[in-house]
Order: sequence, then structure tokens, then C-alpha cells
Amino acid sequence: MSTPEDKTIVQLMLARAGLPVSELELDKLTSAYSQQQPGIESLYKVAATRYEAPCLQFTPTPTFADWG
Amino acid sequence: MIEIPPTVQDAAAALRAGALTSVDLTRAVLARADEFDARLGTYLARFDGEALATAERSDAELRGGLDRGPLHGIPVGVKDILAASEGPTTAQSLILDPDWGAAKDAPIVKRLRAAGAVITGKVTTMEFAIGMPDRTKPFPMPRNPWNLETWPGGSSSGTGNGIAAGMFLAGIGTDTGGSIRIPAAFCGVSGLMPTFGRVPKSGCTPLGYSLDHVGPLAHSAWDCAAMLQVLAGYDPSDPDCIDVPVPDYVSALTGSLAGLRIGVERAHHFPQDSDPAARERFDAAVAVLEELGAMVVDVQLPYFAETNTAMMLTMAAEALAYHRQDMRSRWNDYAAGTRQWVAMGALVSGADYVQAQRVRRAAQGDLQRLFHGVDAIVMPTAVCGALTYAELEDAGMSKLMGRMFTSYWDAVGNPALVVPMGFTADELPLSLQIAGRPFDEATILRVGDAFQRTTDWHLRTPPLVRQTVAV
Repeated sequence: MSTPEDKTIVQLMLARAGLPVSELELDKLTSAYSQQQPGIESLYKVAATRYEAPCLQFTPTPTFADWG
Repeated sequence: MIEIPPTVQDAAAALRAGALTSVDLTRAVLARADEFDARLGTYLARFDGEALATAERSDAELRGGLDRGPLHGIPVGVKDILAASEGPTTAQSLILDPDWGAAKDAPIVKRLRAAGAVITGKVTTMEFAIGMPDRTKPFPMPRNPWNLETWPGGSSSGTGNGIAAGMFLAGIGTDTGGSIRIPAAFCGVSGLMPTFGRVPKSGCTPLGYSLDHVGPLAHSAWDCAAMLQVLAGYDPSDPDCIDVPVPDYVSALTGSLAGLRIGVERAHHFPQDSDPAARERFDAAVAVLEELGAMVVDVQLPYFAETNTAMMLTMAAEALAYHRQDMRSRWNDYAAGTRQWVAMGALVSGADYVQAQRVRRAAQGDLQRLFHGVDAIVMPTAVCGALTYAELEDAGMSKLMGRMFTSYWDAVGNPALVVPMGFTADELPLSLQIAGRPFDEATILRVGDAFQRTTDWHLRTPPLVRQTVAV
């Protein structure tokens, strides 16, 4: 169940992204946001990630090649 | 008009035996497209003239002793988010610049041409591989040949339904959360999501930079192996492509599963609203694998829910990075479904995104340890048949999300093959998913091929096609 606070947060985040959603889309996204929050919180509760690195690898020596 | 061979393997043998020519075969599949494309919404662009010219060249080469391998002279469809030089790529969207990729071939398309494949055209997808078909946009609504009221799955929709209807014998799809495997499952064909980085994804519009995979669909695992043989390998134009030797996938199809250890994952895969036939067919499929010599053991995938959550928010954030500027200025030119999915990226914080990548790595670690004890893991691809458009429009994708089980493997990057395993009571295809260690496509293809040497689900033809062709 979405709260008024959820709707405000979603409005602000969408506005920051510059996405001109309709009222119906805002309601759907607010509902989706609310449903998603417990899942996102659960990511932070995975004990094994406490000292784990993300699977993001930055290299100071990238290679560049065109396709096509 | 010739009878179209059921598989690439059969067609390749027939070509070499002189039983048919590539021109015969290409004309036959083009005729199939004339018959069914309007009803199935398979093609966005057909390359009939170019395909027949390629078929003629293939016939001449084969007659002259130049044999490029099993794809030589074989009709293949390409999902319209990959560039092919015959024409512009649309990504099934009003947004994509028609000059993007114009007159260029994606690296995998170049590889298909070098292998002698006959590229018949660009086929339907979901908008940018994510947005459900939107009736208000000027693109076909793809339909499932097993029941025209149903969705063929996506986002490689046209690849799946085109193979099922015989409009080409194999095709290229992409998979970010299941987009090769779901249409393969719903259309009753086989599909392979290779290991992340196994096949170059340059020349393909992105959905999730760390999740996108390019791979084949075809009737059989053997055909998928033959396709992967051509597609796999390093290309420097894709920064995520990994330089690992490409084994001989077809030679590894021994037909034997003796000594193979197969993990069976039921714990996360049978929710209460599963179709009753799904469990029955899955148990039957596992029994077949045991009869073929495999040792089966129950397993549980680590961090199942968390990894799926990580996948979803990763995809949303990565997609929004690509689309944000266009969405700001052309919001209503996007399909409604694309807007809904991609806008979710605005609701993901930077820290959430990074945490998702830490969870992915934790899951990969536990999965590596799980694979010390098994060589492959099987589970149903979905526990329902294809849904109708009415059901999808009513309840949205949420009705489907809890009943399909593909996105976990995108998140961890392991390869996964799907093969047909039977039907629901409504005669809609059901599918078995076989996942393996990174870069061990050979083992999962061996499992799928062995299964298909004993069963014939992958050779079944939709009644619509069977009845129309018989007339």
C-alpha cells in the first residue's frame, strides 16, 4: 500500500529525472515504488555483502574499437 | 513447394545430400511468411531479394565445394535491435535514430554472413527490448502461433514465433531478464542465453549494460549449438566481451549424460498459482534426465529473491541512463510499457544500484560453490503457458513475473538453455530451463540435446501452422 509520502518521493524523483509522467503513470509508479522498497531494503540485509566489492570493474586502460 | 525441414540440422543434411537447395528452402520460408506474418506479427522488415541472392550464392558455393558449416544456406531471422546492413534498425520504436547503425552489420550479423546464413529480415521485439507492444504505435502486435489470443513472449517475440511458424529455421534474440528464453518457452522452441560476454553485443541497442546477452533461438539444442559456434568469440568493439577460447559445441553433443550431476531447483519455482501441468511435466523431464544417466540432487539457488531484485533495479537504472534525454523530450513517443519500466530507474538511488552489484557478486560466489557439486541445474522456465493479451493488459506483467524464472541467471551471468518439455491442458508449450557454469555452454547444450534425442516436444508444430500447411 502506497503512502502519501511515497507519492511525494516518487514525484520528486521523477521530476529530478525530468520525466513528464501523467497522473495515471504517477500512481502506477508510486505503487511500484512502494512494492519495491522491501526488496531494496533486503539487499542491504544480505550479510555476505558487508565487506563485498560490487561487480563493477573500473579500468584505467580501456580499449576502444568501432563495430560495423 | 518443398516441405521445410524441422531443424537446422535436418536442413543442413538435406542441402548436402542434394535433397533441396538453399533457394528452395528460402522460397519456402518466404512463402510461409506470406501466409502467416500478417496474423503473427513476426516481421518488421523482410529482405526477400537479398535473402534469395544469398541463397543462390550459398547453393553455388556448396556445389563448388565451399562448405561454410551447418548454417550455410540456412534462413535466419534477426531481432530488430541489432544492426543489419540491409536496412535501418527500429528497436520497434519511434525514438531510435534511423541513422544509428545504418548500412552496418553488428558483429554477430557479420559472423552469420561469414557462416553463409541467409538473413531473411528483422523481426519484432518489445520496444527497446522492454516495452510491451502498444496498440497506439505503428508496429505489429506479435502473436503466439499456438493460440493467436496469446502473447508469444518477449522481447525476442518475432524470433520465437517466426521459428515456431517456419518463417526461418533459427534466429537471433537478446536476453536481459529472459528475452530469449521466455519467447522460446511460450512458442515451444529452444533458446540459449550464453554466458555474459561470450557473444559480442556491440551493434545492439542496450537495455541493461551489465545484463544484456545476445543468443540464438531455434527448434533444437543442436541447432542452438551450431548457432553459438558461429556467434561466440571475442570482439574488441564490445567492452564486456570476454576473450575466452570457443570450444567445439556441436562435437560435445555426445547424447550421453552418464556421470553428469544435475541439481534440481524446485524450492523457488512452484508458486501456488502454477499451472498443474508445469510440475508434472518438470518431474517427467527430470525423470528422463535420470534415465539418460544423470545423477540428480535437490539444490536451492542462493539469494534467489535478492538477486532477482538486484536484476530489476540494475536494469531500470541502466536503461534510464540510456533513455533519459529522449524520455524528457519525447515521452509520449515511447510505448506506455517502456515508459513504465524505464521510469523505475529514476526511483533507484546510486547507493541502491551499487548495493545491487554487491548482492550480484555475493550470489555469484555462493553459486560457484554450488556448482562444485553439480554440473548443471534444472528448473522450469515458467510455470504457466503464454498469457493472453487481455490478461496481460488487465493485470500487467505482474501476473507473469511471479511465474517465470529467467532473470536470476541474467543477474549472475551464467548461461541458460531452455527446451520444450510438454504442454498445459490448454495446449500451450511448457519449457525446461538448464543452467550451467560460466562458459560451460557445452554441458547445458549436451543436456538439452540428450533430452531431445529421447523426446519430441521440440518438433511439435502449432495446429494453426500444421492445418494451414496441410491444406
